[in-house]
Amino acid sequence: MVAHLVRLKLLLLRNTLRRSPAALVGMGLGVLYGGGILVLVLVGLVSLRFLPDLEPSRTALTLGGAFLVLAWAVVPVVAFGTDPTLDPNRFATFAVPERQLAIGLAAAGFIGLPGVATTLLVLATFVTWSRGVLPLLGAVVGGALALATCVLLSRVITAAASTLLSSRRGRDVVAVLGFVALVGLAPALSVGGSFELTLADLAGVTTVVGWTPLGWAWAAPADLADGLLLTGLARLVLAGALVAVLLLLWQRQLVTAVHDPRSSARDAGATESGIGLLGRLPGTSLGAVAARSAIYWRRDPRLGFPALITTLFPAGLLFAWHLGGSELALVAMPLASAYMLGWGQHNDVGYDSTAFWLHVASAVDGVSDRLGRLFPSAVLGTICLPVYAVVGAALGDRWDLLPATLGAGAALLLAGFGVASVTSALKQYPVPGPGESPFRTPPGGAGITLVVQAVVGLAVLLLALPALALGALAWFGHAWAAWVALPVGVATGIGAAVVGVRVGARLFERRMPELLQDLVRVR
Amino acid sequence: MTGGPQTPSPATASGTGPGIGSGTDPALRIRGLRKQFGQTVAVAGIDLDVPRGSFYGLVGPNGAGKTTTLSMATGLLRPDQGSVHVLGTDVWADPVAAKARIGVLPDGLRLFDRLTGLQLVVYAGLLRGMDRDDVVQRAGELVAALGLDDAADKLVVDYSAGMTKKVTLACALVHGPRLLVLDEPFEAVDPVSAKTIRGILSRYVEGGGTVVLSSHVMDLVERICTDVAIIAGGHVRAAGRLDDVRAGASLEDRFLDLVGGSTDVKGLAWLHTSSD
Repeated sequence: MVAHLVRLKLLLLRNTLRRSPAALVGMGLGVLYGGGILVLVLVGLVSLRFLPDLEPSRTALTLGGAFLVLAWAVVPVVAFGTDPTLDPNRFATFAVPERQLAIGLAAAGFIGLPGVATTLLVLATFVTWSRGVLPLLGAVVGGALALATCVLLSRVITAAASTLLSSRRGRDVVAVLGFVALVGLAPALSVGGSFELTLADLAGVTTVVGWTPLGWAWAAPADLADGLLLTGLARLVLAGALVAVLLLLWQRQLVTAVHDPRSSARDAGATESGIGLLGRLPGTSLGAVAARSAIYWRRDPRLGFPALITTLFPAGLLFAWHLGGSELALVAMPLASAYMLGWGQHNDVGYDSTAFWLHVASAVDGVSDRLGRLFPSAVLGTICLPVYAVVGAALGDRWDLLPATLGAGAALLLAGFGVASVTSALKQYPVPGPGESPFRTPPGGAGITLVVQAVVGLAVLLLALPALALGALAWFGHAWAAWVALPVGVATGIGAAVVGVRVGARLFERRMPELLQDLVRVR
Repeated sequence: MTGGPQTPSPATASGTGPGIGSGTDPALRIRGLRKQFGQTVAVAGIDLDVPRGSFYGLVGPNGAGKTTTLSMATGLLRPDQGSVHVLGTDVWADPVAAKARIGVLPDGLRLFDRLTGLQLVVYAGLLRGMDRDDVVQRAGELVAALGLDDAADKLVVDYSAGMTKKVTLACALVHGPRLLVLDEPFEAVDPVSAKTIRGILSRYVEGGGTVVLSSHVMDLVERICTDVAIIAGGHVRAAGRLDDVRAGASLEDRFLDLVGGSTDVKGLAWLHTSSD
């Protein structure tokens, strides 16, 4: 059964790539992006074998390995999502034994670029530990356990996160936790940042990490190479227990999903009397699109969660300021916020999925659609940009830079709106469908996403360049530039937004049926 | 408007009178329509005239090209070749004017299902540029007429398949179109709801509107349609008044005649054994 599921996954991947050249391109780009780094790391792992000293191997593998496990746990949640092709819900009607389904679906998680890369890394550690029979054995067992930990952990965490986010209350909990974490981390980091990290500290960190669940499997071979037989065995036993616990958790989540397939990722039983926001915004098609967008940002985790990240992320720069004391981080805070919010909706039509037909059948005019969709981002932008700008200026006591950050921020935000209006009328790349977990990316989607975002982000930066340049001048002490940046930023931003919305609207009206077909095809 | 729930009569939004008599163009005229997906020809040159005031049934086996034809007729899918006119307006040359006269119920496409039923119908009306007070009143009446009162404040994602069809029909009706194009409107709809929908559609046609619907339930088409076209393999095999197409036989027999295909089942003997 396990082999059967892995084969199914391979078959699905092959058919997706055959059906969609875009996914193939995405995968190719993924190989190019990651391949170079991977080769470097592999060479490093092999060369560690020939160092006479054991310590570098221990440090590099324990810390690197723990980081890898952490990446498997965190990256799907904050960035790319997991692959939805083997959704547990789809097995609801088949009588597959639960344990086998759990193992099979986890094993199928290796099919894909991250899985292949991680497997190669683990194979390379066998070379690193080929100093003797015992370390090699430890590396093989530890490597296998580490691989299992990676895949199971990512499954367990994304499943838990999407269950949490699927209810309104869960989303509120996440939002509150996010704020608490931000507020709480700042003092913790200011303490942590006050001493310098030395090589000796690194050894200490390695010891600590080696005894955390993230490091057990990776630290064991070093003990065996060191002759610490019992310590090594203890770590391997702990790593094995971790895998067993994760498997048990994953199996339990699967059972819930399979027994109640409708419960995943939905706001069960939500109601709203009357027409809500549709009755409060202007009663035009523009107002309707704006109201619908805003309602969706509130009710749909696929939109709400990224909005939350985008809103809170710039506050993370406070740590950089705390640690490094650089006022540049404070200045960058409003700019990062404006930049991220500006072009955040560059793929907005994709989130409508095929429900977009209603816009096509109604022949809604392009300007209403373009402007209406931007409403939630515009609201967030008009709050976040001034707040971050003023907070940054107050904390760093750099009120002289405030007009510059506001001007450059306005340029980034509005240019982003312009670019997003054009791109979301051009072509949509695949996103998780309505009701699916926000942590899912169709195969090949990650590569395309990276390329599109790089191009779109670059376009925004270019459009905002005049204001950014003036802002840079102000930063380097030319006080007049700060006051010039404000009108220049606002003017170039408005110009870019007006042109972008116009062009986007014309494209949109012409290409509505084609956009719908794109969405029908990726469904 | 006071009193009980009413079905909106066609053409109240556009202000012009009911369809009959205000022109000679057919409600829907399709000429040489063709669509190919990759190597597969879905629609291979279809001509069709839907007279005003008719209740037109489109029947055909699965994969015959019904949905593709209806999508192209309503401006959702761009044809490779051919033309579509709705009441004399070219759908692909002047989509805005043409779409204002059409109400659509597509099959197999999603809805904005995070809205409540009432919100969705209001949204559909507002997208059409209607006055909000007007939309809210009509949406309320439609929801009541379709028996969705209790569910009006629930999210559409929690609706059953039949309720989803009904709320989509409300979206198609809210702007008072003169032509209704419905793809499989009775699929997954229970008998009571089907009767409600049939009643609304009949009154709509009596009021001068035109309905085009696709179905593969022959009995139903025979019962409610005045005209019928049989489509198979991307071609129209027969079209015209129901009685002319039937030519004395039942629609189902005529359909099987034209479409071909054996109804004999071979094999499957194991399915009939009750041994375990």
